[in-house]
Amino acid sequence: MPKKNLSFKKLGIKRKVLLGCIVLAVILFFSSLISVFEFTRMNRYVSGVIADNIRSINAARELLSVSEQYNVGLMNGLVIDGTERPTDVSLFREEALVASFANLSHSFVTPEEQAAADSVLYAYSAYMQVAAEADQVWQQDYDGRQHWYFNRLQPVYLKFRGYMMQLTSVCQDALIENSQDIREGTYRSLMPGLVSVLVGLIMVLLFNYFLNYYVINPLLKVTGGIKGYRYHGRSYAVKLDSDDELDELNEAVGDIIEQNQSYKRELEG
Amino acid sequence: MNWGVISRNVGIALICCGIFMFLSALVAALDGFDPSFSPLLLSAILTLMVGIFPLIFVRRHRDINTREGLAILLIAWFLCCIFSMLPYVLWGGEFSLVNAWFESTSGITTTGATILQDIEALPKGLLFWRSSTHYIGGLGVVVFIMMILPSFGTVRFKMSKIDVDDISKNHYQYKSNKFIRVVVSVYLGITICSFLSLLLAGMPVFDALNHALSVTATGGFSIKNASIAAYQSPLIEIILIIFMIVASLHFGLIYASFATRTFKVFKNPVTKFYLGTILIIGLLVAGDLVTSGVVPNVWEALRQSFFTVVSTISTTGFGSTDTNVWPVFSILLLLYAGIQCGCSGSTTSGLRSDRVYLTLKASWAQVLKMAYPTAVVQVKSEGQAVDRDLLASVALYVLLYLILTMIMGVVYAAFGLDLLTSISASVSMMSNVGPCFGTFGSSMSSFAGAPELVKVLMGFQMIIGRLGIYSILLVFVLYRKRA
Repeated sequence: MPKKNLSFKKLGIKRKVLLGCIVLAVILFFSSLISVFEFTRMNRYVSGVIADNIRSINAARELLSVSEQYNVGLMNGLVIDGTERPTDVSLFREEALVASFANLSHSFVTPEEQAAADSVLYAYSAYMQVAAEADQVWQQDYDGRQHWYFNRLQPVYLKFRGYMMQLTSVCQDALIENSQDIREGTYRSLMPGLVSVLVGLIMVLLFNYFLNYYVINPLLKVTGGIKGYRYHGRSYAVKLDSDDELDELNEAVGDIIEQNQSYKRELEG
Repeated sequence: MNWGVISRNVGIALICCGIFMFLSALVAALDGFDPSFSPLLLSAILTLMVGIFPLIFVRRHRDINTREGLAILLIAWFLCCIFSMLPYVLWGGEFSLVNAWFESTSGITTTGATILQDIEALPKGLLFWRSSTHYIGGLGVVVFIMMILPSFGTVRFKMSKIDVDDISKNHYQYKSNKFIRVVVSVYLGITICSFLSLLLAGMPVFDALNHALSVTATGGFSIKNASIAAYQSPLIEIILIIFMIVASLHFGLIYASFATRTFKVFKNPVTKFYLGTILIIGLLVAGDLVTSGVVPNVWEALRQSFFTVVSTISTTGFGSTDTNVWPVFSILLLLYAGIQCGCSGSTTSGLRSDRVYLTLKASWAQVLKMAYPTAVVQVKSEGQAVDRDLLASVALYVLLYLILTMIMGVVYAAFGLDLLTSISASVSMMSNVGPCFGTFGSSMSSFAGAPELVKVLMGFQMIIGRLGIYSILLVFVLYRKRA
């Protein structure tokens, strides 16, 4: 019998099994690649977000503390003590306040934080404008200094402080929002692995089904047909739903059995 | 039943889904590798690999029986819905497992109802995927299968017999290969024309593309929270009205009109009936809006009324206004529009105008028969007598549709939804319209607040509405016959 060559379109068993394995490998490879990619991205994101939040909260706190020190310095100079010029008392603290403001642009990243920082900046300008009158006020008597401090400077300071408190709470809110993002990021880095494992398991079951149905079962059918002929003299009539080497094997076995039967008939005749 | 054949053909449907996922991943890549890139890419790889798997082992089959064809149709639709969930599940956010199922079935069945509360927060890749699910489902997974199925003849014919219902088959007097060409060319034609028109009307490219995919499939997913109202453009609304009507007409007749350069489609009695229904309901709603004082301006009332009526009757479900504030009379008229829907042989669902038209004609014939018992009264359409079996089938379908819609409405009410919400949601899901009235009201609202089990059930109801009640019942009958 002339041997049939398997064309490219007709996949042989070897190629079928190989392709099946490649499909599984592709799934595993890409899912692990995407999982690693998502996990790395998430890792980088989390580190960045936490660092940003901590920096924002620290900056807001520092600003609050420095401004309080500055304000207390002014109160000491003008209201309680009154012996030192306010500029000498609070010069260092004013520099510290200006330095903290210089950090603002780097520390606050979200639009809400930046808006709150802008409000603080405007309130700070207003406060410093009033505070600049301190030198002149120092020359006044105690009542004049007290009146200026409590009625002119303190309301502006309280407004400035209110904005700083608002900035601190915005920074803390941002941390809560970021924790939601972190949760979503964790989900996104975990899900590819989970889904791929699930699909991979389904694929393994499918692979097992196809191997059984299209490779093992045909072999069992051919073996059963041969046994039927050999032990019970039944005619060989196995039909396979395939177009690979098993189909060729089936045809070859059928031919051999047919030949064998004709030889037998010749011998008997 | 040869499961190998079924798995091979279902695999081809999944490959189609996978290709669209790849395209969506490409959109995400073009958008600067937005966060939806990896969920879409992984979903595409998984879907493609699962789709390719049966193709490796199962050889091509030229013969396919009705039972296998039906199994292919149902399993392909169901698995496409399941695999379309992958990008959503991997993305997370508002998409829990149930929400992903709802959004996916809503997309594939071209319903257009959403669970999203902030659509604009989604990255472009996922937005494109949402619109793509409409496009895949619009023409039917089975037609996609037939397009790329390598074997010719019997396989395609058997499948087209199942996918195309009895009435629409009358107008598809083409051989199976030509049938595919007709459907695909009309489908592509509507997509291209609507995309270009929306672009010329001033819509951004990405928005125009998504809305073109959505309107061709009579889907309804928009990429804006306020749907079409977000554009505040009468021109865009007029363009969409035209394309929603075109997409809900019989594709075979549209093709014939272009091929013969006649207005064959408008000479068809069902088309006349459908367009007449739009005109009457549109005018009644506009009149109601003006007299009730909801929209005092006549032109504005006409604009809102016709857009909403066409959007509902064509089962698209785009929104240009909040219909929840409309008077009850208008809401009931819209509910009727959501039941009648477009013409057979298009991508619309629901009862379809053909069935309503034939039912009305048959009812009139019955009245005549009662008046003149000895007279021979025939129901005619386009000058030809309509087969009595077809009339019986149509009447039973109408009855089954109404019973099933009512049952599902009662089921939703059992979960605590009010009367208007449960009935309108049931009609909306059964006819694949999308928006409903009441709690999840209007086309700009979301189903996020619906109970989880209700969302699951709605998903199944959308599939039943898309495939047709007979296709589902046929499965039971064929399996019982086998048993």
